[in-house]
Amino acid sequence: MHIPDGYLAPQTTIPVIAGMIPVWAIAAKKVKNRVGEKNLPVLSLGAAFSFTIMMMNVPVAGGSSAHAVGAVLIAILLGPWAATVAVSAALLIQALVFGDGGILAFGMNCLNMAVVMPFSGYFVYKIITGGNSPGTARSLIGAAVGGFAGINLAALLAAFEFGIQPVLFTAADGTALYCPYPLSVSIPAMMFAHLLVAGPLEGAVTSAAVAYIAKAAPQIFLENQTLPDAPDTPEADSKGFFRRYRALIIPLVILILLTPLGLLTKGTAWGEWSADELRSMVGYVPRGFQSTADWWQAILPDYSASGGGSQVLIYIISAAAGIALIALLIFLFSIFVKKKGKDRDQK
Amino acid sequence: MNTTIFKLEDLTFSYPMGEPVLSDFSLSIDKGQRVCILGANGCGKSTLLKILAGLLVPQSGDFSAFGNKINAAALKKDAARSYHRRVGYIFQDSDVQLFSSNVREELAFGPLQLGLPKDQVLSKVDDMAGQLGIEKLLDKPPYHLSGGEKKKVAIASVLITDPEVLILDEPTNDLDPRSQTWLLKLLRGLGAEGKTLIFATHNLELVPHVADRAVLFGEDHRIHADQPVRQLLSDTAMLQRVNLVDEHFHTHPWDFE
Amino acid sequence: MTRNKSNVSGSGFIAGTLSRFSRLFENELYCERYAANGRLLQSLDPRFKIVVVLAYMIYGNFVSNIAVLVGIAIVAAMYAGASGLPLCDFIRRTWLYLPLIVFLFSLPGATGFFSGGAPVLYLVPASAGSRGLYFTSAGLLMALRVSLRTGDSLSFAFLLLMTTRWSDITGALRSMHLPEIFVTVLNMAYRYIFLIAQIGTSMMQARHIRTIGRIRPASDRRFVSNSAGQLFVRVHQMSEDIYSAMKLRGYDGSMISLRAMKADTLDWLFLLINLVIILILNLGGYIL
Repeated sequence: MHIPDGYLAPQTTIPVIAGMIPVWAIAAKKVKNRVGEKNLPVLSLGAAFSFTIMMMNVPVAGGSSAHAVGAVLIAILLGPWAATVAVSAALLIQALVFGDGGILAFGMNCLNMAVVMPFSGYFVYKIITGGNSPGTARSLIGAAVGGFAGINLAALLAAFEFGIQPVLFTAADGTALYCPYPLSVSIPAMMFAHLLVAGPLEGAVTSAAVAYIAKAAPQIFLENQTLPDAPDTPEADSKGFFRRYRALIIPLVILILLTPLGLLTKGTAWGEWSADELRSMVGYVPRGFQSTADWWQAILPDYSASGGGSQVLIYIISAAAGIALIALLIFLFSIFVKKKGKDRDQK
Repeated sequence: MNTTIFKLEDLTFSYPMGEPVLSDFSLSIDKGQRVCILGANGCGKSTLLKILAGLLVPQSGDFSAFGNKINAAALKKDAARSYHRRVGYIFQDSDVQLFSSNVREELAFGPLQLGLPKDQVLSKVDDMAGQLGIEKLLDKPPYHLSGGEKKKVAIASVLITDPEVLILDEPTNDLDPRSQTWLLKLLRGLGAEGKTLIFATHNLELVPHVADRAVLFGEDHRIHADQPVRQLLSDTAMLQRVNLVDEHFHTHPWDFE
Repeated sequence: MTRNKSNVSGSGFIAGTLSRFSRLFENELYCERYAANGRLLQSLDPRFKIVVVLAYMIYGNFVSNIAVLVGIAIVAAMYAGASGLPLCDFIRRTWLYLPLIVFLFSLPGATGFFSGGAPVLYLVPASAGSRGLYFTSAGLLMALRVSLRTGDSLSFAFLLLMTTRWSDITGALRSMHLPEIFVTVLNMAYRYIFLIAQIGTSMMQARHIRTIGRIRPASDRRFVSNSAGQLFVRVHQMSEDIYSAMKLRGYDGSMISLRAMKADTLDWLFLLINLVIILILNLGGYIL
């Protein structure tokens, strides 16, 4: 369910990144205290594992994809905050190495797969498993259902995130500026793929992995360990669940508040303001802009009617000039780099 | 004169949620000794080596190294760093300990973490590469190397900090015969320099050329024999009893040259 | 997607994954090959590179003018060329995969069902009963726009990745105040991914050799869920050793590397030049 960069308006992605920053900070602190240095290899292994699992994906109508994540498995092994750290790391590596899911969309992808999924999945797991230890039949059912529930909740959120784009971000002529599919398409498309394929796979993988690890290497589970200075273990009673995770609520509230604020700036697409809009924004219109605008104004109405030939020529010349100028800049800079590079090598 | 470097007394160690691997275990190793640890798989050799290297902490018993008591508290941050500088450890699988982008950086890693200035580090790297004959590999990434080359780089990256003790876990695994001979010569050279060598191996051909003392583990995780190497290797009946060799094993006089 | 499927045999989604694994190795070799060749982008401070790359991505995300989006793509290609990256490969890897998929998946959104405006290309001609199935010009532009944005973002991400060592990227993130635990997890996870890829690949290949006939998707899925735990435990032991090995050599979370990170005139100039380039692009947006 990675969402590519082109599908999300920055007015939605940037507030989400801002809201995620405190979440990441809290996750980092919690993991350092609770999971400890001893479990760092397992945590990193979980991140690597999640990355690997996410590589097996199938594209889904609407532009996203369906795949298992492994977030609930990590939450069962080391706690949900550990899953946040691990899956965020996996998503970052993916965004950089494979370009899956975009850099600007990173906040949203983390929200879906590194926060909503492990926390909701772990919550369901705990409700079903109760006090039973991992490896028992109850825990395996809990793992399967938790995995299924977690991934579908995340998919629903993702569907919502890109399904609202065409509602909020359209050009003057009504075409979508970002994702073109409304909720009526995105939700069924995503949920179909995740309820029928990715969800069962996630549930099966989570459950099977918990079963195997509980038998072959039970010391991996955090609740089987006695850390010397652990304040409280994740398997405290569920009443404490909300109390403990209230730290999460504050950033989420910030997120929810910021998003409409970002949406208020939707207006006209950036950079395509007319002279009037520019004037009201900046206070004046740059003289060059005004005269060019008038010039185009004169020519533009005739475009569809008479020959677009000279028009196209002007377009081409302007484009070529711009590109040539940029190329010149880069070329000069690269020469400068080569020169400087010689004395930099002494370092 | 012999100074005891490692002293283990009544050690018990078990992995989390597992059976004890070592029980009431005692052993001491002197400076300059070249000790070979023998035994069938799973009898505790690797565990012992890791305890000596400061990687594992026993649940009970006393472990002292260089005259100091070693326990979890003693192995925190900076103290750990200086301990690891003095006691080098070579993993069975070289891939495990090679993680830099190229061989030069791999060798430079240790000295850099110790805080040495960069130009000093670079000249140390060149020296070490020359000593081990891996100058040609300096700009290559580690995963491009053959098994023997990886082992050389792994050893170089540990030797570069000039440890007093070198511990090797099954060093000849993944090595072709030529590299094995190279390793043998290297270890002999290090032993002659006065370094303390402790290694575990299945490769009985290697043993008499490098070690002067042999410690034999049985399948019950206890020491069955602790003798000078020739003596132990000549006692084929005992070696068979602990399931280390089968009835076809025998040594030759020239093995001990 | 890759032309060279290397030594991957069989079909189905596991084979697909296997080929992505081998692309992973290809990537790693690629990055190290080009990350140290001393050309344009390789000589710059990674922190500045990250800032500039982010700037282009954010700018591209806000812009809707197709000419500007194409311009951004051209800038990325120019930087690729100036940094010694093989242009054909670069363009193939960035444009021929994800942007193409995004374009194809947006095409239904370019039809009359989703976008208003005059029809420009008919798939099913209009008849007495229906308007027919057609693409609108606005819709096609939308699909183009969306895939251009994706490709632009991807191009710059690839530029960053291919011209910067992984340890430099994480080092730069660290110096930009990313909590140390994330940096440690990133570094180690990166290392473990290759480990998993190696062991996972041999597990999959071993299975492939043992299986006669086509492997059915359901069997594939069962294999995945069964072997996930197995793979995890197998890799786990090795991962502990890797961590021990790092600690033994003095690693305590932050890596001091041979390359010091100090900004100099070159880096600030780079920042300035890209500011100018973005302004030029923006101006072009008004004209075009």
